[in-house]
Amino acid sequence: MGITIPVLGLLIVLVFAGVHIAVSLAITSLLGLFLITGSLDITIATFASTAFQGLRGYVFAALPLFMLMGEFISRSGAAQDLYVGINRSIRAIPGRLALATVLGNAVFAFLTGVSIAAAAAFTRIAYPQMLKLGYDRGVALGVIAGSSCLGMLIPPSNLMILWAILVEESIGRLFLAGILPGLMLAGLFLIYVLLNAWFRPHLYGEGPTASVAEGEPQPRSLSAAASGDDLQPSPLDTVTSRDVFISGICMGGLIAAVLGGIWFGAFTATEAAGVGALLALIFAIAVKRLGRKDIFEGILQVGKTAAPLMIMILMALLYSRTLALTGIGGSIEDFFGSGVIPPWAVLVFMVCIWFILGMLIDSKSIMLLTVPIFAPLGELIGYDPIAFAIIGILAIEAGILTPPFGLIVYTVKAAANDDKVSTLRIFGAATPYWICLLIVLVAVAIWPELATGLGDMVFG
Amino acid sequence: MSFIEKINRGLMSVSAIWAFLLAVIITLDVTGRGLFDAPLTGTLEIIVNSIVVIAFLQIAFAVRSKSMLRADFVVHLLPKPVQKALEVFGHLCGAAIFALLCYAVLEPMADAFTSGEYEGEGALRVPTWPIYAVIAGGAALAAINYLYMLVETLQDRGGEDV
Amino acid sequence: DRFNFRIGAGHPATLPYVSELESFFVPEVVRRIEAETDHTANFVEAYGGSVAALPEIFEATESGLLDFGAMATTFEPSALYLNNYGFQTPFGIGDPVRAGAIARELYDTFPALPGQVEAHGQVPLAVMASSNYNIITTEPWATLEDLEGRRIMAGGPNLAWLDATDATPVQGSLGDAYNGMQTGVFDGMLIHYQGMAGFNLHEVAPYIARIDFGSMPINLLNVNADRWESLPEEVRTIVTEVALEYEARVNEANAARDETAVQTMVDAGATLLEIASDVRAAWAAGAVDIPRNAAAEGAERGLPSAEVIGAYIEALISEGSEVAGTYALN
Ligand code: NA
Ligand code: NA
Repeated sequence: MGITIPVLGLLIVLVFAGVHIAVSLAITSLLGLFLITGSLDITIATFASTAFQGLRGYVFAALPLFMLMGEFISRSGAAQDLYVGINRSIRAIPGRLALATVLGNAVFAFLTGVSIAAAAAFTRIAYPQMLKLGYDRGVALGVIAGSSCLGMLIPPSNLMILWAILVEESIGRLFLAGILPGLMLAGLFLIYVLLNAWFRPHLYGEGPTASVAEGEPQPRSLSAAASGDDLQPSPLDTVTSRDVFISGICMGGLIAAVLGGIWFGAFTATEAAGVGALLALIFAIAVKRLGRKDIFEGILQVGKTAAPLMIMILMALLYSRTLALTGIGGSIEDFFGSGVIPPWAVLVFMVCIWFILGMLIDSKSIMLLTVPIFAPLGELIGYDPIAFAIIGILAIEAGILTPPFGLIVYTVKAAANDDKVSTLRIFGAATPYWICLLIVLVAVAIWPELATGLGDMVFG
Repeated sequence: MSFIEKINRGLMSVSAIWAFLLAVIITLDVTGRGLFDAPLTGTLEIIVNSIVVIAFLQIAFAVRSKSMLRADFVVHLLPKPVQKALEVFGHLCGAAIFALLCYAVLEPMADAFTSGEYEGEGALRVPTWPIYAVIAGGAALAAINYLYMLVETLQDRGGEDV
Repeated sequence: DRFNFRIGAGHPATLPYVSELESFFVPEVVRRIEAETDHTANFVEAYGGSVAALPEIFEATESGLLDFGAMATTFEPSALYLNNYGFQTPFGIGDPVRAGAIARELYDTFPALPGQVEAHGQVPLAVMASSNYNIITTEPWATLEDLEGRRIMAGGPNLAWLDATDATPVQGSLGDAYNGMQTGVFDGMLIHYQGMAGFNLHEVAPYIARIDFGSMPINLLNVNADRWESLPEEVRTIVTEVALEYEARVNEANAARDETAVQTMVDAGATLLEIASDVRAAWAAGAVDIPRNAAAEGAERGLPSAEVIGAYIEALISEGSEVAGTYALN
């Protein structure tokens, strides 16, 4: 126990000094291992063994494969079809484009596991239209940033896969756990947009009658979109009802095949990811005529994102092993298990740490840094591990909408490439959305069944 | 593009396509099992052994293209010379860790080679030494890239994104 | 002195060879060292793979990351090739206590068995047998013909046993079994009783065939050799004695829990299928290549596999096995 504090302290210093998270984790762990065992040989042997064994699991393949599926879908331009379809079917409602953005994100969330991707995609698709209708710029980008958080909560979700890997929980069960809270969140977003548009219609343009704007966006990489070069106007009018219909059918089929396959037991989450990636590719080529160059770039992009994550997972494993050897588990158990501090206070403490870290560091790093400590703690104070995972993901996600780091806000700002709106204004407009996230968080904390209910029904 | 960058990119391309092939293998296994009572034997071994290989083939490119995640908000608040010093320190740490990892797997690699160690019993036996070798090679290349970036930082070239 | 030990296992404390570490071995060693010597002892316990995962326990005990490691030999198919004689000889003894006794006897007879562990810088303290392996299916079956075309899931080392039939072996893990059988992706699983009951497989696959692949001699408790040498004689004596008690308790616990597991599943509505001995004999006749090939491969590796498997078969026969006589090693 004596070395736990310095080991944790060193980690925090290294992370905040800007040393790569994976490297920080490795340095801290190796030093901790050396202090615990007193032997350089053991430390080095453990490093080698963890590097060799740490990623030897079927589940690890789920991460890059779901990323591939999301990448192919994103590049295919299906998000645009979805958005147009929803947009056309909800005419004559105040804040229609904002509502369509929320709904489009909710559906898109069933296909991709990354919030950033959704934020970039919808900035390209929806922002020019909202501008055309005279939406307030901050409000327009706020709704895009806020609603793209749905991608992490509604399955498939990279954060959920990562969490499941870290605590050895079933990916399929965690996916199911996100559905009700995800839909609840989408519902809260819709209510907020409706009320806001009703009471402050000037922020939401002329209202419901204006037609769909023009300008054709290229079906292109979301990640390229995220890097935010030019923003062309988009003639979404060229999207025909037939496009919408075909995309809708294919996307629906893909969701049913992938998620239904997991939940009805036809295959494991990893297998679903593999099948999903291949089906998405077939859709992108056969239906959306995605070019060879785009496909190859998508595959490369996944490699670029997945590899650092895998290495981080390895180092986080080394770190959690070091923690296990310090005996910190026993100390935490003694401290929190004694009942002096009520469970809700422990939970509030953890949520605060997550929320604060969420403002400063990216979601995945936060999970790798905190979950090895927090997950056993959550179980110790009596929280269902599944509900606890959803609470954690909500808290961490709320942080990416808040200043100063708020990754999604910077993403939409970059993708919009619009000097007339300040980052601060987008942060302001996004505030109601992270408050919605916290409301759902509290709801799941009070009624864990929101997260566990569906899983118990399907998995028994 | 320098020689190192060509290697980075080449390994990245190979392993990115490898990752995609996993999707194909999994689909063959699932459809074979479901439709023809003929699962693709050895799928488990292939997947399990592929992931670590893919990760270490890609790591050098990830380092060089600044895809490694970090928290830089504190750093950005500091004066420029301190920022530069921290950056040098970070690259040094990265080089040290990956060099150490390369060194760490050399002995298990040699042992695995001489004893003919393999993993997997049922469907497919996979020798383990090539996996250790990929880890060693990938880690070494990552360390070299960290050093390369360290030099760039010192020369104030900053290193453009690849 | 105060000894700080690190002990670990890859499985969580749900299987007896791990739960008995937690509930017996560790407290008993601590108690006896305190009571009988001038020393004290303290353990950091890392079960469920929290420090070393299932395939890493052996290496972690070798390096000294763990002082004590409880492991399953199946995760070292290559380093502990000889020790996996149980899986190389399907249809052993169903009772873990008797199977454990055979395992201990072979360990004491053939120095090459502990020798494989010692070659990796460890001293084996306990050798134990597992829960009894059988088959659970969604539909009843009685003959080998009935199994034709059925998709039976099994872990890696069990796949070869299924190859001896016309069933379709599917590689998979316990975690996927429930869902897979519920939806009919699989028709059954080859797994031990405690695995069936622990994962409630009988809820979706209510037919349990008592085919007695046997309780497998696969679990070891090893101690790092350098650490072992560094300990005072009196401490080593205590640890050795407690380890042998632990060994006996694990075998007894496996026997008792197997009985409870079957009873629980039957009470919940599962049906026991008694498999006729000629069906077992026919299966074994189809599986004769498994021990034969293992003996041959052992010889190539310079290991007395033929001798160990031969002695194992002898022991099975003297315990009343009707099928072990089918196997001929050359
Ligand atoms: Na999603
Ligand atoms: Na191993």
